[in-house]
Amino acid sequence: MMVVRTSFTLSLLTLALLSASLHAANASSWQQQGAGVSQMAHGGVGLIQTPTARMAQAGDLSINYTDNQEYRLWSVSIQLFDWMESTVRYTDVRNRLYSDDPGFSGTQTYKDKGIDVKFRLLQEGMYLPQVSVGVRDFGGTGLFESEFISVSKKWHNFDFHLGMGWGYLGTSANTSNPFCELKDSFCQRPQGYGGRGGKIDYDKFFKGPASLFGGIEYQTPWQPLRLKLEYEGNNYQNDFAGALVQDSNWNFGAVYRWGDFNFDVNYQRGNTFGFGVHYAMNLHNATQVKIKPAPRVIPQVLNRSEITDRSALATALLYEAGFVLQTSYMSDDEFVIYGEQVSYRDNKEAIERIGRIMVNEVPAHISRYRVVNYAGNLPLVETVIDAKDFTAAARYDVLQPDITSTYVRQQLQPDTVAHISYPSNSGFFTGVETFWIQTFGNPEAFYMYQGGVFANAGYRLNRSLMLNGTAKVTLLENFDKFNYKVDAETVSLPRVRTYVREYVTGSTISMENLYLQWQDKIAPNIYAQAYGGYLETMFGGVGGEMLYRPVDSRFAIGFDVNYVQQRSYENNFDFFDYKTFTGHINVYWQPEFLPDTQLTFNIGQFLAKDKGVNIDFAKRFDSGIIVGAYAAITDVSSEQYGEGSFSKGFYVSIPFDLFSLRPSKGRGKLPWIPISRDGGQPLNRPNTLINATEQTSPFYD
Amino acid sequence: MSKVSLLLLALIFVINANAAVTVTVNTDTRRYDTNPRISEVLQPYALQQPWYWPAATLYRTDSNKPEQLRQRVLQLLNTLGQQTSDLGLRETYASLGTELLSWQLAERVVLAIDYDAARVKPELNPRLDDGEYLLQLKLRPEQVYLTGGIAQFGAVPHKAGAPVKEYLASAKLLNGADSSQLAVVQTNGQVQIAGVSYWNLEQIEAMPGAQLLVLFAPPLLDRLTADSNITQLNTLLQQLAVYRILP
Repeated sequence: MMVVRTSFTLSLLTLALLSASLHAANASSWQQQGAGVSQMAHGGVGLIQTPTARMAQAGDLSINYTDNQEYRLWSVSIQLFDWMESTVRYTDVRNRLYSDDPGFSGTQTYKDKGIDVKFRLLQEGMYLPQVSVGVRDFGGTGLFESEFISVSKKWHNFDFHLGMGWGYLGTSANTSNPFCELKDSFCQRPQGYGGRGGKIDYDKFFKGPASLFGGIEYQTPWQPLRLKLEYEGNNYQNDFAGALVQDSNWNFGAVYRWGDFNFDVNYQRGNTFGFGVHYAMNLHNATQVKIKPAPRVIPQVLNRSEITDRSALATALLYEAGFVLQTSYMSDDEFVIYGEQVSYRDNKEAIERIGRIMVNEVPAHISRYRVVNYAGNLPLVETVIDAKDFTAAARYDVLQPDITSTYVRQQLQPDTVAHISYPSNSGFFTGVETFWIQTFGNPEAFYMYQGGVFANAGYRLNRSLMLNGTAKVTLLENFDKFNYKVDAETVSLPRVRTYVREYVTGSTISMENLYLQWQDKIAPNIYAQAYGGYLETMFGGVGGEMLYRPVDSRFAIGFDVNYVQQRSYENNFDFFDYKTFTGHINVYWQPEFLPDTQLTFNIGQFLAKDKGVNIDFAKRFDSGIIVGAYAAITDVSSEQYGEGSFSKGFYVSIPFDLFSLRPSKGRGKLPWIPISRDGGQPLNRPNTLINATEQTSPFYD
Repeated sequence: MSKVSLLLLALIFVINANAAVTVTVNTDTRRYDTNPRISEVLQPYALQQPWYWPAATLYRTDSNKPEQLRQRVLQLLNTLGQQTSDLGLRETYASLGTELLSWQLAERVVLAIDYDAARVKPELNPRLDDGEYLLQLKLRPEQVYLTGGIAQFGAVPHKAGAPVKEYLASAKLLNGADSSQLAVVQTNGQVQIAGVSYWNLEQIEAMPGAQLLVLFAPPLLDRLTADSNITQLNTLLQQLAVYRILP
């Protein structure tokens, strides 16, 4: 089950602008663009049924729907790196029911999910072809489970492909398995799947019958049109949809490109028509038209000797630079502003805008500006701007100006904060966020959803202490279709998450959280927080966290400890008997060898008292969109865990800035969790220090 | 006044004397006592002719960067020549060396020079730093320049709408040249790699006045180790071509 939270006004904007904004910015060059690659029926670059060695452009995202008579395939394929493609897919098998029990799943047809991945091994050259290797549907119960090696060579407008497949791609066994010649264990493909599904069955890879497949893609002289011819190695005798009649191994297809869309039609197995629609965008180039004030122009002559109108400065900082000024300090040669950046997610742009206002509004004899950024009430980073250099660069008084070289970001210096007392802003606060919970592939209906608002209110006692409460108000849902609340599996693990249906269907208005929180910076680069109360939907208790995070560092480390008790789903305030200690050592690392990537390791004890590590991989694209995946590996066996074998999930995090016309910070996270059970589940702490200190070494923004 | 302070005074005087801008626009040289903006420099010349602004180029003529770069490339060519026993290759490196020596070089400032745009967009109208400059204003060039691993260096007529491959049709590539791709050093100073072979042909066009730099093919095994001498040569050649002053 997945929750999407967005701030209220932004989500309205999102709806209005969704179609207009996220298009691939192909038109950046006046040079004619090639037609690029096209997707196969299962998603991922390929011909019709078979994959090729070709890769899309790094950052390309393709959303695909194809209809192939028995199978309808929905997929999303992302080119994470120029050498790695990943695809997730839902398959609808039209001639099979979800289950034999109509009371459980009604007339819904069978659904299956799958994940594919493909790696490029060799780039094409004058004499050598492009070579890729991949696995399809490797998640255990996959209907199309297979491995392949593929080579592609282009000759003018023809692209030739040849591959060898094992598993689904190789069932016709039109050739011998070369690995079988080497080792006997490769001659038979093991049946079934490991654990309780959802595991990578390495022991099957490249085993059993193998087939050659291949084909040709032809770019017609008419640019938008491409033709495909394919010979496949699957004989459709062991298909999940039943043995399908195959009149021919040859499939034909045509792809028509229209803007960011590809439409394709094909004729498969000598007896079946298929078609598909594909929408492509690029995660690197996605942009949005913006309405924002022009950056302040710096006049030739600067002769201001004092700040005449302080409120004008604050207003300008807010409206032209998104900076909420809380207080300021002026010495003989330095002007310091303290506050929070609320609009501009790009720090460079924010600093340039602030600098331009300062040059105009601050006395000319000031030689240094210091911008101290807070997040909420945490002082995070200071930027020291050299006024003279900045003015020269911003006024284009030098031939090749470089604004970023005119300032440094550093951790807060003791004398920076010595002169002021940051306003505590004590008092009441309120807020509203929308939420959208969705879940795919349920027996009752394929798509189930619940939407509404989180109404939030609190009282801030001082700079670091606050009381916070959130009510969940459900406005729109189809969760009333649920046939069961708790799954029928016999489990040995405590049910720390699998009562989820009970929690989300409790009542229209429920108390999401209510807690007291203290949060502060306790030493240079070290942040801490403590909290207690009803922390999340399913747990309440007390806990604390510490984090060491230097400014602009690729590395951060910390830990959290919590003692929690499971909340009752029967009412808002009671607890069940289950209590546990949970806590982790948290390591955050942006390795230099993987560009724009953050790895997170949470090592410790999870909610079901299982011990292990949760590994999270997040890749950031130039547009700010982040694609991530995580898996928790704990001492729980796959039998104890139940369906799915271990906890794992995927997510896409999208900056609101890509949807709004005004510059904005903030993100929406769209998770996709194939199966969520009780093992490897962390406590959802109401706030984490890594998020609170994002500005110190930005990864998300 | 002691000798030392006299000397200091002289030094200061010299520095001050240099603290000005000299710009040669095509053949006309002017001195500016205060640092002028691009639009001020262009103003007397902008409307004299229908200049083709995409081909307007600005160079710093008092920088020794280009000459250092040229020496590095020549040295590299020398090393490569000594490393190989292939006589054809040696000849290639030698003839390329001679070609490079004939180039007139200066440090190109990659900036779109355009009189109209400069008066509208502040970022296209910066002040010139102290120093000496060459500002070339041209009518629309009618040629593109072939160079690098090619037998006949020199100018050929520009073809509108043609992919760069067409310029190579009658050209003979030298031993060791990469027949798959070449670097298009566009007139605006941007470098684009363009596929020109049967397997990677791209519709990339050369701007009028662009240079087509035929690169060198790294040996098959070297492709795996990205930092071979040949790859380095290809990179340096592209930089050097950006510094080249064309007629």
